[in-house]
Amino acid sequence: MIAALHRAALLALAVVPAACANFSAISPGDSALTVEARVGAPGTVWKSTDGSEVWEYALGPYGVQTFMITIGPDQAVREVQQVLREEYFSRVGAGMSREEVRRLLGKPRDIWYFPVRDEEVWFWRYFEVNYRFFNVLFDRTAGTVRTTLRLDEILFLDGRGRH
Amino acid sequence: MYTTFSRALLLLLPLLFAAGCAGFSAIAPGASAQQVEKLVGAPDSVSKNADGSEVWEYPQGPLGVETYMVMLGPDRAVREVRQVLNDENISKLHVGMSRDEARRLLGKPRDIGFSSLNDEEIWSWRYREWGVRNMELYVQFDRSTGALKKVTRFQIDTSDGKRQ
Repeated sequence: MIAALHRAALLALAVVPAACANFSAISPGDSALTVEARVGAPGTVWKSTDGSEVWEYALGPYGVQTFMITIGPDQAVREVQQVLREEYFSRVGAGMSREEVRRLLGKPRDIWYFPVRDEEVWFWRYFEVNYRFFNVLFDRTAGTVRTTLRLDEILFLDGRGRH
Repeated sequence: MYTTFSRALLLLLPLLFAAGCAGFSAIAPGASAQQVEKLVGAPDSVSKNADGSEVWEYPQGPLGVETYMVMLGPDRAVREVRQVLNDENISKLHVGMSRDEARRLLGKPRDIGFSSLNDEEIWSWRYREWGVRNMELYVQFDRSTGALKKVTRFQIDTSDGKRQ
């Protein structure tokens, strides 16, 4: 009985998405080469003046995680962060530029613009209890943040309108 | 004199507000088109059907969460008054529908947007679910074919991330 439970638990672990497992396998001190071997090339690289870099891995469009790996001038990993979470969202404030937001949260899943309101909306999908969206609304002309929105996705119970 | 006047105004104020909201519920089936105009003003748009009947549409502005449609028969008498931004109507949206069909179902969208990454046009409405929840509805259309691609409903979280 216990053996069966144990086996079930192991099976459940195996179902954890491979992508998550790979990122959690990266530890501070690992080399840049190890990172590339484990999770591939980053979608975007942000270079700092001190010679360090941040490698961005946005797992969208259907993913709900974006990883930022900071690599020191010595090409060794300093830290790995999953940024699609409240700790990072709460740092987005009115007046911030597109570049600052992009740097903080990584590539958005989609960008919509509304001509009448002169507004540009950036979307990230994330998971916190249920699937949610974090939206950043920019003044399109000024290129600065107006406000942010957190939305709960309500799924149609009958599945209509979805695919 | 002034005091009496302002007191009267204060007393009247709630009545004025109530009149704004109650306008549509005061329209009874059988009322004439003129009576409708007197009660709720001219419609934002009118769509005419082949049988001579008409639908008068009253979107409640960019901040409103209700849109009324007044159906008039060929005899220009009211048949029905409906608040169309509700779950029942929204659930009638389906993939492949045209913009025109969606427009007839829910009225004029609050806003129309475009995707920078996909060839999509997004129509948005705000509505209230169960009379309390503030909801946002997005209907995405493929711009080249004009067909509905996706419907998404969101509940707006007003706790600003402090919900745990």
